[in-house]
Amino acid sequence: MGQKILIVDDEPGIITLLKTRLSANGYEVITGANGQDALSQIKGQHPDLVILDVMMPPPNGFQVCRTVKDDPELKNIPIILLTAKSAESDKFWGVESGADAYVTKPYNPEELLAQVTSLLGK
Amino acid sequence: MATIEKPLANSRVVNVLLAADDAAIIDKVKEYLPSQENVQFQIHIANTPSETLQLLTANKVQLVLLDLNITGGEELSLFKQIQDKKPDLPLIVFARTEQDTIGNAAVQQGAYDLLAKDKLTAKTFSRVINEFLTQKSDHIKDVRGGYRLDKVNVLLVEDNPVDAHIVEDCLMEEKAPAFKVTHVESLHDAIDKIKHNTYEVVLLDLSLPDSHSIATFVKLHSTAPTVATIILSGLDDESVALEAVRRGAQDYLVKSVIHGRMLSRVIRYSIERKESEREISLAKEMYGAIFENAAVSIIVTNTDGQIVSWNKSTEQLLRSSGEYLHLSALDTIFTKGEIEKINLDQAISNAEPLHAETQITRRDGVNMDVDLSVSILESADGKANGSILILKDITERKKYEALKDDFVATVSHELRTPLTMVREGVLQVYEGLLGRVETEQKMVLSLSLEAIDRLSRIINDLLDISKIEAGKGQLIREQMKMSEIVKKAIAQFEIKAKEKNIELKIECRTKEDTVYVDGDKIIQVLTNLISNALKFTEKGSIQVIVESNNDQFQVQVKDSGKGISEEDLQDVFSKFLQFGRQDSAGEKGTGLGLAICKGLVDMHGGQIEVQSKLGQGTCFSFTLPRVTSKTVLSTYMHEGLQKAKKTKVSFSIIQYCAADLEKKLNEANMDSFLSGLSHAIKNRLRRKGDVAARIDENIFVFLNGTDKASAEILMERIKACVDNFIKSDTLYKNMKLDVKILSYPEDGQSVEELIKRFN
Repeated sequence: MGQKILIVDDEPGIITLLKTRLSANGYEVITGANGQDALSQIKGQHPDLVILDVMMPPPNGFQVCRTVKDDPELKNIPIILLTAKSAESDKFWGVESGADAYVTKPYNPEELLAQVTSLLGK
Repeated sequence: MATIEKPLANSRVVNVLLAADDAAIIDKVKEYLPSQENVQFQIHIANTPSETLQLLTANKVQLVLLDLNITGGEELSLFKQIQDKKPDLPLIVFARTEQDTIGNAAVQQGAYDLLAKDKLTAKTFSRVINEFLTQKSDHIKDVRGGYRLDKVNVLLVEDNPVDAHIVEDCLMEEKAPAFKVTHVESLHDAIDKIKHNTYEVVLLDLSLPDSHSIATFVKLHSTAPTVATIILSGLDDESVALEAVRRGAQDYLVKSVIHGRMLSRVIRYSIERKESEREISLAKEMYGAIFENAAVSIIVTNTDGQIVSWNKSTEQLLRSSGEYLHLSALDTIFTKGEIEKINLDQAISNAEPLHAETQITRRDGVNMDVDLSVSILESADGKANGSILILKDITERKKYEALKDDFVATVSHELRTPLTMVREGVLQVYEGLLGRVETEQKMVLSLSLEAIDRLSRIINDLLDISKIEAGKGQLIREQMKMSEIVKKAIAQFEIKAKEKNIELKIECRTKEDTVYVDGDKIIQVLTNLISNALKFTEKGSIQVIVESNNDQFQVQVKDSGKGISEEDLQDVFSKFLQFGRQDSAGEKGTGLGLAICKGLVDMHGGQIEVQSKLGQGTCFSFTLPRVTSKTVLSTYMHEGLQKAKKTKVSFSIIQYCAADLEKKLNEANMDSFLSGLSHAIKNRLRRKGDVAARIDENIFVFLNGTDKASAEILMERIKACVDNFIKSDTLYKNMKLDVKILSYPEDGQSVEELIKRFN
């Protein structure tokens, strides 16, 4: 089995599409629908990489990211944040989330895949 | 009766009244009259005597054609009525035969000529009419705007019977024109007469039993300001007569030297002068009314920019009254917020025309959008006497435009998310991620993908153009090399050009090609132009040429393609216009590319144009004005400060200065160091509106609405990536950057104060 990637987004359509794409590239994919879900999956499953949507029922992506990066056992797990360029980044300005990469929505699959590959050192 | 007719404004039309009830005569006149050259006849037909008399006064009739046998008007009865009513009007009569007694009686009593109905032919008819037209040339002159003076009614106001007698005697002898003199001896009687009768001229003695000196004239003139007045003066009071002339009298005569011809001439000229005076004042009144009542605000300034005249709409638009407007400078009646950009003052002082849509702030503090145009107030000798400003309130229109722009931007943005999902879904099926796909299925899916890509190009272009049109596009100028920009743009097309066997060339005809532009935007312009060139070129080459002079850079994209027709050339920069798409293969355009190019070049203050001939290739060229690093820095600072002051927030700038590194690195290495560093810093900026730009040996990071503490946090975050970047190349090892944070308001209140404190 390949490396394990956790995808967290509150929109099931995006999860389905991402899962298909990543599975086709040889990754094992687990999913979560909200921030709470994301934290318990990260703690329980120790994925190799997390793709996090920012706009989610709380805790939002920034907060989840902060929690993970503050946890010495989890902080090495790379996190990609999916952000919409406009409002959110303004709102959370000054919050040092510590994410490893940002991909702006609507993302294109090649760009996301390239980020995944580079973070997993493939 | 008054015999002065109103001038018929430059008309070449002769009004003819035909009084007849005989259909044969009416038909013949209608047939024969229009054949006259140079003159057009307007025929008014009256079938009965009463209709005749009615039309006689209703129209400016210049000639009457009268059938003496008209029912109810027999035996010269109608003829006499017409003569009574209009004694000076020429009459041509129709009688049964040339020997007709009534007809001949009419001629004896003043009819101009007689036409015999039994022998009426086109030839005789036009002979008579032609004769009339030439002999009565006076009348034709009337038609073209002269004055007719056949009989002049004179009011003679003179209490000295001897003097009065002399004048009456002089005038009695005159026949052309003839004078009808009414004599009164007091001002009271004169005013009474003038109120109840029509006179063309008043001959006025100033010393009367009931009034003396200039007062006599003033009183009479105020009663009848439209009547020409000639002062009769004695040798001793010429100066008073002159004063009367200054106050509106047409002329004066010294009584002791009066004689017939001279008096007649003075009277005729006085009447003419009065008439032209009246016309001028009418014209003045009309233009005054047009100016005053125009629905746009019109402001006239002198060459110093002071307001000298304005109309009603101006007072309404600017909510200012006369006391504020008169001789005020423009900036006291409205402040020029955005108006500074359009150089209004310069246009006025240099007498240059100008047209712009801009914003002003009224005296009462209200902001409004206006359409402003300035034209030159030129005197007859071509000298500029000032400027004419026309202001139109377009606030409402701008509001709707903003709503439209917002709508387009929001819709386009909202469309992108689902569209990405559609694309990814179709792509996954197409690539077989969800199972094997048959060839035919694949073909259909690939058509879908093409359409989806086109749709997303349209959405992206729409977003771009709506941003440009709304003026919301942010221009991030930084120091770059023009040749590098062109190289980047052209690199995207190398494969495609090779496939089509077309040569792609760059020609840089300038050594110093450092520019301050928004690189992404210029690449977008070039990308559009090169991709168009490639689309419409089948063989040959595409050349990108960079040139420069002291003021600007010029970039040309030249192809050897099929060219654009002259007709299409005018519209190339319009939205949604596509040319030659039916016979071009490959990617379909959006029709917005060139409109976007124009918008982006405009944002840079440059100009874009096209030259092309069918079959001889096309050359698009655009200019980019030279901008200095100083201007770029102060523009960023100015905008940031203005926003901060307006919204009462902070504004911080981080400066990374590499000046010390200059000694250690050569120019090329310095450039690649700074552009690499700028790239690394930009990647760490995640907030919309934050800008990092290379200016000279610095990278500046402009942080709107950010106080010093927040800027320090950000600087820490950036530090790691800056350190990483420096470590990444052995060339940069052990190098140190000077970093400084400056913030408004604590470090300075103005652009100058802040700039002084940079390294």
